[in-house]
Amino acid sequence: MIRYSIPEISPAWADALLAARLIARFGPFSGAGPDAPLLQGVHLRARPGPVRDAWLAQLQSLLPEVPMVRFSAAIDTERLAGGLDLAGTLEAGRPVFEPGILSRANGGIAILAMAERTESIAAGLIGDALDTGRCGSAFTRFLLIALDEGAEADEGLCPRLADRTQLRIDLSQVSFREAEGAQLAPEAERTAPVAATIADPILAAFGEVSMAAGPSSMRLLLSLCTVARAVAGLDGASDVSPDHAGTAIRLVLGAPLSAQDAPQEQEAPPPREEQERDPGNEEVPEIDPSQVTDMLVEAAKAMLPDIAEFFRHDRKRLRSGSAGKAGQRIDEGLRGKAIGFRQRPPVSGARPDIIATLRTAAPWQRLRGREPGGDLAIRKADFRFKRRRQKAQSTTIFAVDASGSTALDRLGEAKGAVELLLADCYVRRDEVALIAFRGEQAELLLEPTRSLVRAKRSLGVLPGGGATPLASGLMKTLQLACGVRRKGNSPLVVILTDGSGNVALDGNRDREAAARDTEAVARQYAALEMPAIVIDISRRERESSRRLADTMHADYCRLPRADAAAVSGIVAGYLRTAG
Amino acid sequence: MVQPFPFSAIVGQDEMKAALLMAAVDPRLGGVLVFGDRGTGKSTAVRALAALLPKISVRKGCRFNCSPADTHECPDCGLKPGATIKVAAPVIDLPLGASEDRVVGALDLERALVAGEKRFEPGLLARAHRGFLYIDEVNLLEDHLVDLLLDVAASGVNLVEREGLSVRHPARFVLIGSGNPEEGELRPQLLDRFGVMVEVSSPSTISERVEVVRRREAYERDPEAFVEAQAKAEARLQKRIVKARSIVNSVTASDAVLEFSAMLCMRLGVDGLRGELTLIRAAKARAALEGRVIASKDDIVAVAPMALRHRLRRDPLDEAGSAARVERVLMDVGDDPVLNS
Repeated sequence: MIRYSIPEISPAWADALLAARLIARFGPFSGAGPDAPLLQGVHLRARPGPVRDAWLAQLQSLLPEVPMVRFSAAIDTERLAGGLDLAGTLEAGRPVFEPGILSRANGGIAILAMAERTESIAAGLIGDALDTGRCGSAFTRFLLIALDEGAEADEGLCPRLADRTQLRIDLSQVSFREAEGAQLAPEAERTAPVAATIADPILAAFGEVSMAAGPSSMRLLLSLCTVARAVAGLDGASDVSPDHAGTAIRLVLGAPLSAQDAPQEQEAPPPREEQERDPGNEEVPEIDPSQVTDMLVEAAKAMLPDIAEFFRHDRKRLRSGSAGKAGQRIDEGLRGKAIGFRQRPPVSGARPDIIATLRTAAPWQRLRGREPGGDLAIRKADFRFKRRRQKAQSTTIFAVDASGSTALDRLGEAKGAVELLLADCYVRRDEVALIAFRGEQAELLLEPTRSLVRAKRSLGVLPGGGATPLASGLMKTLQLACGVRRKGNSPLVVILTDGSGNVALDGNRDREAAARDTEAVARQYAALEMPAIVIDISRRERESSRRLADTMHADYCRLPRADAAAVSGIVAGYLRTAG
Repeated sequence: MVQPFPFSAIVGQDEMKAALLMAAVDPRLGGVLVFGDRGTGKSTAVRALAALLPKISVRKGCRFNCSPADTHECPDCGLKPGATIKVAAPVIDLPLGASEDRVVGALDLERALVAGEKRFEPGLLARAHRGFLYIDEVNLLEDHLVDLLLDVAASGVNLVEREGLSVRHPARFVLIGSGNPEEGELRPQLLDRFGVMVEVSSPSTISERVEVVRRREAYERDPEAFVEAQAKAEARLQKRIVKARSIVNSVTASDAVLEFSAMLCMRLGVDGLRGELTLIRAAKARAALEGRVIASKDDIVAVAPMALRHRLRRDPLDEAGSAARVERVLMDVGDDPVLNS
């Protein structure tokens, strides 16, 4: 009983609506039997706006009253997992527990807003709740809707959650007109869901699709099976047909399809009425195993460039999700040296310092009417929390001149330095990033990371040659360094260059403009007091790099042979004295 | 409570399963580190292990899992002879983001605030005593917590000095850590303190992947029936563990075997003695699991990768993994005519 009132409904929106119907039927809301497939998560990629709201409204219109909680990715651990409510306990005179927010979503929906910024700990807790069905000591089964508002391709849901959200919906190409137009009516009567089975050839095809998607998690394959069974179940079929399987691949991989490259079989499923009129249709057609496999793999391959892209970003994304805790002071942490007391908890979940709290409360006891030997009267205002100062983590950003004027071998040494530095960074838990500049602009080759595995992979293909966009390199490095600082880490910029750029910020080859731009950016370093080291790697000493260091208020050092060990030695020494 | 997926039904991942079983046989092995891709059944295997472990007997009402045979001073049960009950061996999950309070234990705030009583609230370390402590994403754990955990795991005692409390209780457990190296690595010092390390990856053949899904689906459709169907295999495996535990302390290794392992460690340039000790312990545990009381060279060869791969000196510019290096040296040493005589 669906009315697709707009004829030119796009495949993306049709899929989104289909996903909503699947969720309504097979989500963790009461109703579905134990052997029905269970849908637990949706990865909804869309900018906030009317289209996304329309989809959520559609979904809600299909559901009975279910509990719904909404929280943003910046939520703190305590609220996610639950704990003792201190103020409440004191007031009530008995322990009052605050349940974790996920336990309140039991039997309903948990909406994670700004999901692309979920930090690993929150993602771990949510993932764990999905896996085990519990949050702390409470049981909870819920549907997770991860609202991914990532604007850039490399911004997105962190892999730990992306892995567990079986459906992926991309609404970025859906127009508001059609979103507003199509309406789903709640299905009047619910037949008992059928537990559809998957024939071997289809299972094998799914296996192939999951392998083609790269050395990814097994959960992709499990999601394919669950969604395929759900699609078949919605159809009232007892076997998963190749059509169902194709739909499932589309819904799980969620590759954005534009209208023209949507293959024939990827149309919206036929409206129900049709099937009811012709019950003969419900019979599963004869399956020719080889055909099925070929067809499905073919269909998946059509999307594979996108999938490959998706999983490539998967890796890049690992670090990009960081909660908006910009500017958080390091001396407000839970750890580190105690530097005093304060009245409010530095972070949620901090425990009050008992001694200091009692000391604060003591003078007031008579005024508060405490009988000798009676209970202590402690008010909320008496609580004292330790303030702690923690050493900031450092992030070393290498900006490497990869242009023709710098020989390729020096680039190799810079790579070596990054790896050597990483190898002995374990102890300090420091991070390293790498920016290379050549040709027209600078490129971020390695995001701040601690992982040697990732560093090696990114550094494997470091290009060289071309003009020297020094200004752009400095600019990009400064932006990254400011980002690092906003996160509360201390950046250290290490520039390997011969000091003479010949490409201006606008990309033009103009030596004079280039020099002007370089100086302007260098002055910003000085103004922001960004700690930096300029390593001069030119063969003959030149005035330009020393001048650059002076303008930047940076340390200068000349290293004509720029060998990896020497560079990493300089940086390590610098970090030691700075730390 | 849903029953966990049975251990014996896990497809593939033989090295990980072997390592977990060996740790169950001989807790002195010193922890298992499982590193690899997401969604490869790391957590499933550890949670499955819980159902496999033989029950332990504890004093009733003791929050520290004290064994009736223990003679130490326990804050709860003391030395009082009390009723003894059998409980499942604990396999405790350490949630990501757990605070130090929850891990080591702390002043019971409830009691302190409401009843004005000073009482120690045991943490996860106490609950894990005589069992397993599982940390998913160990590489994301705060450094100071990892240090603390490894320290307690090595000493078997948890010492709490905080908030005016001074508590000491036994905490002997096998630490199991898992993680994805893509998200950051562990410091070498920490790596070394895990007894064995295994690397896992997603199954690389379609048929294996399909088999994983089949079993998973069958399990999800009807967990009870699935567990029931595996009950025999589980019971067999449990028997093997119980038997191996009873003989593991009498497993011997000949001088030739000891020499072989020393040679292996030397050739690989393994730092310290911990590697060699673990190698021999693991070989003995493997022999015990197979019902033998003599550890052979084959045992050493079989466990060498997991006992040594994380103890090699790291060469950041070496592309081949350390597992490959172990294999290479194993081949070399295996061909050595003197050692094989």
